[in-house]
Amino acid sequence: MLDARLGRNEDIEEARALARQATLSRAGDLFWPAVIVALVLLALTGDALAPYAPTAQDVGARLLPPFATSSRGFHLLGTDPLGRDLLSTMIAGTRLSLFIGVTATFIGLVIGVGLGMAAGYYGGSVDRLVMRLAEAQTAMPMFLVAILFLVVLGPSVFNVIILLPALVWPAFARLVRAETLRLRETLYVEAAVATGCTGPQVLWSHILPNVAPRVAVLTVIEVGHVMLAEAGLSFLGIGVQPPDVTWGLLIARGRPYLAVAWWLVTMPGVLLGLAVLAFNMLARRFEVASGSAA
Amino acid sequence: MHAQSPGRFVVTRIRDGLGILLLVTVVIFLLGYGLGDPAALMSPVDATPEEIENLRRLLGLDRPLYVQFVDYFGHLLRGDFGESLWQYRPALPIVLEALPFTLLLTATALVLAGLLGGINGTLAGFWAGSRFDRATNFLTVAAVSVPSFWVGLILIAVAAVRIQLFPTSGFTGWQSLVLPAVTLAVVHGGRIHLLVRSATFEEMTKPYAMVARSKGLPDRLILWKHVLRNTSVTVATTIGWEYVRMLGGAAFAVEVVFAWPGIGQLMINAANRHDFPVLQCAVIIAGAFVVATNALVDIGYRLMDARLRVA
Amino acid sequence: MIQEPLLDVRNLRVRFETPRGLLRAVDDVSFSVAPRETVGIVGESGSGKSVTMLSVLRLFPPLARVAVSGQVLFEGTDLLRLSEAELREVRGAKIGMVFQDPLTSLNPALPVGEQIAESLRTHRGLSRVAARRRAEELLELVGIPDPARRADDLPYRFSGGMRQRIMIAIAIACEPKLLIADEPTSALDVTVQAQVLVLLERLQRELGMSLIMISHDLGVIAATSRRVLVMYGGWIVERGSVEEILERPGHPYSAALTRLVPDLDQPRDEPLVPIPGQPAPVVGPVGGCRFAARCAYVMDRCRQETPPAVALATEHISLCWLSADGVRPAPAPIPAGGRR
Repeated sequence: MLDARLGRNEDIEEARALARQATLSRAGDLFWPAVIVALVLLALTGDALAPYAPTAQDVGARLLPPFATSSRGFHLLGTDPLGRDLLSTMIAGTRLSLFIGVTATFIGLVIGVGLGMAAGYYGGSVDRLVMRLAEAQTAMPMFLVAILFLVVLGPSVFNVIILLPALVWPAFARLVRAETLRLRETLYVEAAVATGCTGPQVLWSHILPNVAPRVAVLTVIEVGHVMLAEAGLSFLGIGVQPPDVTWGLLIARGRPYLAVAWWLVTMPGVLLGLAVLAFNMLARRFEVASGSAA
Repeated sequence: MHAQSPGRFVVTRIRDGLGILLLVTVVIFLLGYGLGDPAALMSPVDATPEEIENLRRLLGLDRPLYVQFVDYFGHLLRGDFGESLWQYRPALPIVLEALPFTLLLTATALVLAGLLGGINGTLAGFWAGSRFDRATNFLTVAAVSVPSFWVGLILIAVAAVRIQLFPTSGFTGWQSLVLPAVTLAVVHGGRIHLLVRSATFEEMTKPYAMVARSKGLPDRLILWKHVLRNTSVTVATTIGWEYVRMLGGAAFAVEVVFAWPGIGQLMINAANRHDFPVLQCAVIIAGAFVVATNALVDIGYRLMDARLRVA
Repeated sequence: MIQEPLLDVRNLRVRFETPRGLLRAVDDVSFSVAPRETVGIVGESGSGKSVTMLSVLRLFPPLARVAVSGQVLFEGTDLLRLSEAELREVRGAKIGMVFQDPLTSLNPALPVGEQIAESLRTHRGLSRVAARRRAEELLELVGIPDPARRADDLPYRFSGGMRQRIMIAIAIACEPKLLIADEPTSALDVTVQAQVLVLLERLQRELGMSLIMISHDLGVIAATSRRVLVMYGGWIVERGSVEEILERPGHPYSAALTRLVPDLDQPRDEPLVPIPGQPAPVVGPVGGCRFAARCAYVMDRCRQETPPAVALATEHISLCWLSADGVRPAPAPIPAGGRR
């Protein structure tokens, strides 16, 4: 049964599929990395850049549309029902959205790379166990289990961060296992073993550096996926809870006002989409540059 | 990769599917009974500690975990998922009433997504680099980069609130189906497009495609007779796996957006009301569907592929 | 001898835009092919020989960013000026093409008879039945036994040699005036190679076609062609008759290729000498001779200035500074370190 799924790593396929669309103009080469850098800067220094305090309410300036001016000043993206400046809340949400995306992906990466290398290098029952686990994980309706998990343990940032890696580690494990299998046969790894390097030494100093570039591409893709998953959970009310704020939560918060204040839902979604798009485009650039796609 | 005979493959695949389903129930049990406290979950928010303790004894939660699991699993096998704490009737019928709505929505969305992504993806891959390819390219990547529930909200804002074209909430007839189905089709159609385009493009780089062009065949003949014959299995499988993906998540968030009376809506309501029996029943039933679809697609792929390769 | 050529390629240039820079795949290539004549093009992979011939029919891989200039006159018409639709009337109908790898060149999911018949239906407007009958005849012509039955088989039921015969049947289905065979034997066993070459020669004679034979193996070229073009780095570095190039090569690259031919008319004493180094794709700005990096006779001048075309005999031209100095590369193994 294993074999039917080994050839199918949808996330890697998606990365390749993205990469094959190598027809965008060169301007895109710098644009999307710039978007990511801008988002990271926003996350790190957000409070300083935000025009207003994200929680500052103003009953006199409720539900102002974009480009409106209140007694406090100009509101580029408008205000919410409590008169809070939308742009400032979105900037505040950037930090947690990115933090969850990156942290959860990184935990998934560590688990996946570790298990993948072990499976590929030691083979045998280790391999079978890891790949079965990865497969069961993929075949399992994870979103459903996630709902249950968060309901039982209670929704919180911490629980979201320990849950989401479960979604991404199999992709890393499969990629790294395949690469390790390939590298194990190469001469210099055999030479390292012959000169008395132990398994972990070989994995750390010979295999890991070689799988790193492809892991990097997958990481970029998965950060996007994790951010979308977090947004989904938070939107459904089983992810991040107020007073914490993420883009997904902002969309949920704006939903009741959809008919009267479209910007409350639209703007955070656009920012989230832009961020994920930037990660997808960046991964595509990597793939094109590494020549693994036509 | 094709070491087993198709017949054996079907048997092992079904066995593995059942194994995964068993694993799902174990995980659910451990989450609910190991990590969580069902008695507390099932009690009203203002219950006193004694009331919770009584309920715990009543439910047999003071017994060892493995005894509880055997008991729990035995009930599941008999179709007994417990009683809804909200509606005071068995959980299973509640879930089964919601199931057809989810299937109707996802099936409609899949047909739309399959047509959208399958046709456009094939054409884009066939004419890679063309104006059509470039135009669909960005739209597609954008479609897979936004959350489906957000697409749904935007559709509501535009199509329903502004021009009042389609109902946006609940189920009042086929018109209710339009917006949620289109929402799901946009995101999943985008992914199908991406993967089908990639597969078609790969086919176009193969020598036989060059040979077909060297024969001076018109494009439509190369596409229909040569390329599609080789990508059809991949396209069908891609669409099948996309259904698994849809059932595994996105569909439920979109149901909530449109107040669609399906399983996703039911689950979120149950979660908010701490209606644990309904929640776990919904997860197991929906999970069984995901696992079964997954197995069916795998088996279908294997049989179609075998027929193609070793006619 | 003064005869209108069937194919007249003039100053063909093909450039590919690659991530690493501009690839000069074909540079200023000119040659002509007379009716019923066989011309050989020899060179290693990456020499531009295949790209030259694919450019004739404008067959490029998808997404290739390619610029073609020059003229490709076929029966007096410049193929490079034709629209895609007009070019389709030429492909397969007037110019047939056989590719290197018969394992991947046939559509794995389509019966071989249909792969032959579809050309006939497209170009000749034959009915399904008539095309099928003709396809069986063609299979017989290329030596497939029991063609009526085997026309329904998928390609995997045939051996490599058989598949290449089927590929040839596809290429000649519409009785083209010109057949381009791109490494038609390279993927085949030695015994099968000879059979396929004999088949190609016979068909050329019977159908009165011109043949362009592309190979990395000068032996294959020598067995089939009278005139030879030697290509390296997108240039035709030497052209002449087979005898001239085998016996009195003017270019060190041709000389090196002759030492790779195992069995010519008379057995030689010296061993087969592989050419050291790899052919590097010509990317970005380049000056001097493109073979300089691997040439045993390299001189300082070779790295600076483009070598001139020097006529060594009637219709024997070498693109080399050595030839300009009146020096011929040694037919025997090259002395270590070359010449300064």
